[in-house]
Amino acid sequence: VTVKKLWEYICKAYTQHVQVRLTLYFLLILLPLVGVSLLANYRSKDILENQISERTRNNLQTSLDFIDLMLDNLHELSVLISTDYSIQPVLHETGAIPLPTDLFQLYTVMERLDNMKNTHGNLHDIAILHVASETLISAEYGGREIEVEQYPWFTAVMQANGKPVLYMPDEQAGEQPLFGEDTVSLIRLMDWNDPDEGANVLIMTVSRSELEERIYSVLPTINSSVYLFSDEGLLVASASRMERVPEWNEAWAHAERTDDGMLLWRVTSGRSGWSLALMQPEKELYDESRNVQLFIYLIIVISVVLAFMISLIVYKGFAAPLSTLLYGMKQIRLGNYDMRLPNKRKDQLGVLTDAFNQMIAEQQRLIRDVYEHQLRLSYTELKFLQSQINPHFLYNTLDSIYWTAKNYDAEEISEMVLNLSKFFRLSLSKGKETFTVAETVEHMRYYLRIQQFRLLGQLDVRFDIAEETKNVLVLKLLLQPIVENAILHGLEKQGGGVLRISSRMDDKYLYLTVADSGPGIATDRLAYIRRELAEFERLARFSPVEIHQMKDLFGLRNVLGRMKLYYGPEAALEIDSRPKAGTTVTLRIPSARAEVSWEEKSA
Amino acid sequence: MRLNSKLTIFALLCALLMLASSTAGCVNRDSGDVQVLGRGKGQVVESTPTRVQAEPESRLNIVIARERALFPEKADPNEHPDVHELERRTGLDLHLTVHAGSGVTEVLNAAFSSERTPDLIHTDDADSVAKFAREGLLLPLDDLISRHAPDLFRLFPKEAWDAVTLNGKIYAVPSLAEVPADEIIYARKDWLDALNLDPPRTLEEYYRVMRAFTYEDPDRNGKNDTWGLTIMPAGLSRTAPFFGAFGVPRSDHAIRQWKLRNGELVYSGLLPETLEALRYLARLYGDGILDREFVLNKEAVFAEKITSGRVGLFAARWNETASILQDTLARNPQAEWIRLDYPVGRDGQQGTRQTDLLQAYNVIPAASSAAKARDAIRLLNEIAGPAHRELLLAADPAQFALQAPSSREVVRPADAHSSLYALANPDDPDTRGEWLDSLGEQLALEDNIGYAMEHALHSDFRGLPTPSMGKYADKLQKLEEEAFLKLIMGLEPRNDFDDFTKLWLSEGGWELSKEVNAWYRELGGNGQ
Repeated sequence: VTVKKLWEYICKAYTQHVQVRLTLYFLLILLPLVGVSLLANYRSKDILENQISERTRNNLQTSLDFIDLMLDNLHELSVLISTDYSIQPVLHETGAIPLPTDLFQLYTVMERLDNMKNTHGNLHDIAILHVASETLISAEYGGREIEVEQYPWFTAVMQANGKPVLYMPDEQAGEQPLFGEDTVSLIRLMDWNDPDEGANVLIMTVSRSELEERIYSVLPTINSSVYLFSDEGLLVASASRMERVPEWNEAWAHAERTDDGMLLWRVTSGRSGWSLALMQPEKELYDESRNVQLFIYLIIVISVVLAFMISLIVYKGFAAPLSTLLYGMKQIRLGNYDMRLPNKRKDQLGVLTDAFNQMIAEQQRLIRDVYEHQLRLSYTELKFLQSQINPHFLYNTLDSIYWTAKNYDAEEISEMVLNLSKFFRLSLSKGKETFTVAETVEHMRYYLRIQQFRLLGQLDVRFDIAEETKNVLVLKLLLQPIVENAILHGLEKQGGGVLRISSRMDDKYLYLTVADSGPGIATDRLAYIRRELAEFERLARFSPVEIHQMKDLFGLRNVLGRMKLYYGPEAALEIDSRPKAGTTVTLRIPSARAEVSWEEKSA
Repeated sequence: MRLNSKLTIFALLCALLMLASSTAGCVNRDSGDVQVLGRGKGQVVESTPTRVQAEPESRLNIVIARERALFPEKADPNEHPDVHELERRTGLDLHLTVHAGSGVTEVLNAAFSSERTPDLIHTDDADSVAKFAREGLLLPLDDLISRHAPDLFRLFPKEAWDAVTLNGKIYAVPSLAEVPADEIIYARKDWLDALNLDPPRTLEEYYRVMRAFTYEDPDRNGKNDTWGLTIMPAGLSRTAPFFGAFGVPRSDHAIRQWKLRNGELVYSGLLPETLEALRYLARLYGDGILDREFVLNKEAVFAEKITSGRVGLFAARWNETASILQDTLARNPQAEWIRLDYPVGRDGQQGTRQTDLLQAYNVIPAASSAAKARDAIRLLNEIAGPAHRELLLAADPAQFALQAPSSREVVRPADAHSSLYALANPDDPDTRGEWLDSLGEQLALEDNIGYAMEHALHSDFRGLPTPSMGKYADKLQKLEEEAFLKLIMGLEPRNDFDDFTKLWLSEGGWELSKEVNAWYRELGGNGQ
């Protein structure tokens, strides 16, 4: 179940994550390489094993050939001595109690043995046991009488019927080493052709160190050891470079490796039946190849880690810019055209990101172009409206009316026309867009003067202009529609009242307030106005709104629209009204933008 | 982004590097041996001639060829601290080629026939030295020594200089034997006491004591299993004090022992006194006093017979107080040894053998340059003179089967010893005494050797071996040995000694006699 789950998990990861797929591909590339190196590894170990085995066997065989040669030499020597006419008759003639003559003859035999020993450099001793007198005549040690029966080798030789007997004194068992300490002796009857004719014994002794020296050369390493066995399987000599040669275990006789990780090779001579066994720690054998093996494993591990790392890095290299792009697209959807994606890449993804950024920029530019086009349209329209009346014609007409009224002594008419003329002059003002607050108030005075005439002096106008605001530039004709509304919808209906125009300024805004003492606006009407204005404001944010298409509230919409256009979203128009108490309209203009004229901006 | 790209580049570089290094490693490993081999070959080819040419002036090539090893086995003599010390003392760059064991003559022949003869040759092969001197291959040293190292004349006795003189010219700087005389008679004191006998003095007293040792059961074990005396058949060694009682000098190289008789030098083995001495020994053998099977003795069996308590009297070598005597005590705590005076003969004669006066010779090939010859002489002067004490006291006691007692000043591990002093061992009794004492005063080495030296009998021939000596010595020695053994064992009665004399003369002895007498006449008829 868990396997199935795991499989599903992997499948899911594979289909959903590019990184997993990438990693898997990398690993797939590695797979044959890993396979080849593992195979090479295995094969080289195999070859090494074979080669070492062969070499070791060859070495053992060579060494064993030397041993064989030595045994052959000993055999030849024994024949030589047995058939030596200066030795054999002496031994036969000597009785159980040798006479001085016999002793002297034995002395010559001893001298002869000494000569033979010296010519055979590897012999430690040659001795003859004269059985009749129980005298052992040794080239190395001299002649001495021994009790032959107490020596086990003697009975062994007698029973061997002429065959050589290998004798190694068991010194641990307290056996007296007759032929030298730590020696190996080859003992045989001298007259094996004719055993009845006196049974003297020939003893040829080799020092064990001599044998050890011969087999020592096969040792390949410090921790290996070599063992020499006789044809009867007796351990004759052993050698090692270690301080102590490991004890031979009988259980190893036919083993190829021991329980404690030692490899064994054994070569037996077909000629003599002697054998050599070499023991070497397996560990040592593979020491060198193990390094290579470890190296290969290390490479594999590093490759896999690298595969993961590189796939991660490659993935990061692709995925990260893609997700950035995704983020950018989301931002565009949310209308954030000012956003730009950071990009330092020079590759295709960098180009893509650049292209995306350029696209947004293009988009933004396009949007602004359309917007500004609309704005310009509105402006042109305004201009057009303003210029609909030919001012000269109007002035001339008003001038004529003024002079005619003067002729008829109609003072009031002439004054009204004069004010109207001044009002228009200022209103048109040859394309100038902004005026100082003082000028605007002056302008309002002309207008209100006319209205005062209309309302027969019932209109009480009060100005409250803060000194610091007087020189602030504001858009022209902002106040006029408001004042007109106050008179039209407020004061006129009740036949007069107080109109208050004031201005003040704080850090951020310039406030222009028009307050009347009219009847006020009905609550639901006020709510309607506010709602309409909010809606207008919202629409006007994205595209200029055609005021003509609106069914009412032209003046307010006009003022608000122009303020928003000119001063930006922070500009505001607030209406406050209490029934029977009057209405207050406040224009809030960001003071920072108040002094910038439209001309400068559009330039 | 930037970090990532850096990481990527780093990782790729890592991977590349690894790949490169692993392949490079493979390539190196494969070609490494070949490269080294090739380079090595080139170097050898280039440097060989320059090295030969650029041999420093102070370098001294020395060949040491003698049977006894002067350096520990398997050690490089040129790295031995004693050699370095000598180099320091002399300012010379010594280069030693050492040969020990048999085949010395071949080594010497090779040294002289090689293109570059060594600057100094040290050997114990007297015959070869004499031969080379006669052939004119050696540099006469008289002038060199008197000019550069006159001390040498003081350090070696006249006899030593005689032994290296040929036709009036010195051809070698001698090296004296450490011990000039040998064979000290020891007897079982406990046996003497048991038999109520006094230490013997005369030959007859000796006979009585040895007879008692044989037949009166000195060990009180109720068995007839003891001998009065045992000797060695090889070279009839361990008999010198008995020959000495007849005034006959013996030595390792018996052929060099000659006596002046009626104005002529006569070989010691042919003297009538020798026959008398042999008859004395034959009497011992015939009476069953001398070990019946002595003829089958080798050192091991000889020692075994004594230490096992079967022999009551023997002639000990100078260093055997440390071996045979102590081994006897180890096997039988009741045993006690006493040194006897040498037996006094009929005419009051008494004595033992001298060892060969010289143990070795230092010669300089005639082809040597004056500078090298001077350096060689100075080196020998240093060894025999100022450095002698230090070198001798640091020598390996194991070469004499002795051990250095822990109280010794210079205690070295066994393989750190050298016997460099033996290159030129002078006659320096004080240092010898100090050295012998340092080997253990309880062994009485100095006392024994002093006693033996007092009684050593000298040969009247002291020259370099004559040409025939090298030729016939072995054969004549064997001849003599067999004849004497037979005489002792009573195997050839009657005219046996006369037969031996005739045979000896006909087998080369006559030539020898002529040469030895020629040497004597050259000395002006004054061998004393």
